Amino acid sequence: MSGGKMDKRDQNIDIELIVRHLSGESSASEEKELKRWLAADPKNSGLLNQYRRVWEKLGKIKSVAGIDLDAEWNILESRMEKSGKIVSLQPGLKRSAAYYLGRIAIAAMLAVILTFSGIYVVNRYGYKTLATMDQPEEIVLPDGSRVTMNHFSSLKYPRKFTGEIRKIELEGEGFFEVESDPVHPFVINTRDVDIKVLGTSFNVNAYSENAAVEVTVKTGEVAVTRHGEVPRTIVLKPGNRGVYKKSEETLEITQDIDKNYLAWKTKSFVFEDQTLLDVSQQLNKVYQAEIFIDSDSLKDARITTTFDNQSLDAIINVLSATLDLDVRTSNGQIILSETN
Amino acid sequence: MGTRERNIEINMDKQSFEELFRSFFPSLVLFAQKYVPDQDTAKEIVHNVFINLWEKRQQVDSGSPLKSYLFTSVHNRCLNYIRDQKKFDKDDTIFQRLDSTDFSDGVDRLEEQELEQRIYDALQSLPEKCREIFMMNRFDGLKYAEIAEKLGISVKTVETQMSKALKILREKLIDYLGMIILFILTHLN
Repeated sequence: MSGGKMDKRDQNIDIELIVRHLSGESSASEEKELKRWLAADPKNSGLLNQYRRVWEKLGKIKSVAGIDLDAEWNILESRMEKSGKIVSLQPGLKRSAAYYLGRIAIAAMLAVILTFSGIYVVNRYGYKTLATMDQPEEIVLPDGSRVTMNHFSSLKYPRKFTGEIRKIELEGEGFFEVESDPVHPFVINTRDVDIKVLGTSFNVNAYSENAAVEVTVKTGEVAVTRHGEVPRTIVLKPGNRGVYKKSEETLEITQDIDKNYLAWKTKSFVFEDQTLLDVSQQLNKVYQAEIFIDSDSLKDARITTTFDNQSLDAIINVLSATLDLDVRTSNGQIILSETN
Repeated sequence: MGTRERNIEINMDKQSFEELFRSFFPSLVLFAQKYVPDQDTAKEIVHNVFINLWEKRQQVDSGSPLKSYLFTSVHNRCLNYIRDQKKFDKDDTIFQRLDSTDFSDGVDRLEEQELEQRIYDALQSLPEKCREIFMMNRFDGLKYAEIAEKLGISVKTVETQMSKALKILREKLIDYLGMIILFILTHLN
């Protein structure tokens, strides 16, 4: 595992260097370092080129990136009213641009302390925020509850819980083991739903870029409430998952839970007659890797196996031995193909 | 997300109309800017298309995909605008612009538009603070130190947010980037 960690750190340095290069922040010595890095391995250029293309393509939308959609909608709406055909409906509770600017301004007031790979932010109201980068991290909250945070997630919590509820805010994904305290319910705010518990363990996946929020209960009971004008609440029991679909604004309970939903935390996988494509996608998420399968028939190859806290290299070795695969790495990607 | 290809509903309510407006306005403005000289004109044309759609929303053919309806309407209004301008404008640079936008490149334009929509959506999918920082650097050309000072955060945070932004954008657009390589290869033969 230590080998894998080292690779990961090297990769991070590469990305920061690339981004500095693209954004015109790199010094002469960093440019030299970049050149040395490019010379060290041809796959590095491939990676740089991918980033450069993304960077350049973004230029295409520069002229519209700053459009204020709220303001444009207001203009259109007032014209719609003038056109006299509008059936008056209740106005939507949309958050305005001012709201978001306000949030950015508040963020700007925070003092920043760097710890390990995560960022701690402590503000003057006694709140702390832990933001993870590309490694999961575990923290213990003031009440003794434990939270394991997945990649690129953040958790805002008070230095000390006061008042009737223990309230925290989550962006991203976390596994919660909440200390039992029936008098002080534990409430997790996310952008779309609130999650209320007394003492239990469960996983919350609430990355804002995902189409749905998922709450999966391991032990105890959890109440999930959808935000909005007409709040709706569901109660989840062990083995249940609550799914909030953002586009449809529906909140439903399902028992159809992928076995490996906690693999990001445990690095343990159970695969039962699953396709190699499916397996590779799950590994990509957990290890932040890029595994590609170079043959359509291979994508459908079926796999039944378990992995318990192994390195990605070890897993790839098992897969390649089992399925007789050819493994090569290119541009930081792992490419699986059939042996000739 | 994922509802772009839906058909026009006969009884479109205001909320779904707003949703439609918000998801297509930026890419329609970008599209119009290829024909008309400035962004204000482009915005005006796109606004008019939406007003028109709203007013006749009960008569629109429910079988036609909404997206192509919108882009075709914007395209037509841009051409009308150029024609109207031509009456007043002896300088025929605008007319040349019209000539260079005949229908033969329509397919390319739609593909290009698809890409722009994806880039725009990818940018919108970034966490707010991360997007703000990224746009300040990429579009406003501010240095890390300037951004840090403006937002009252450390340069290190700006740097990590920039890396985060680019990582996410690459992840979201990587499928498309693959397509580009394929495209170039097939055209070389």
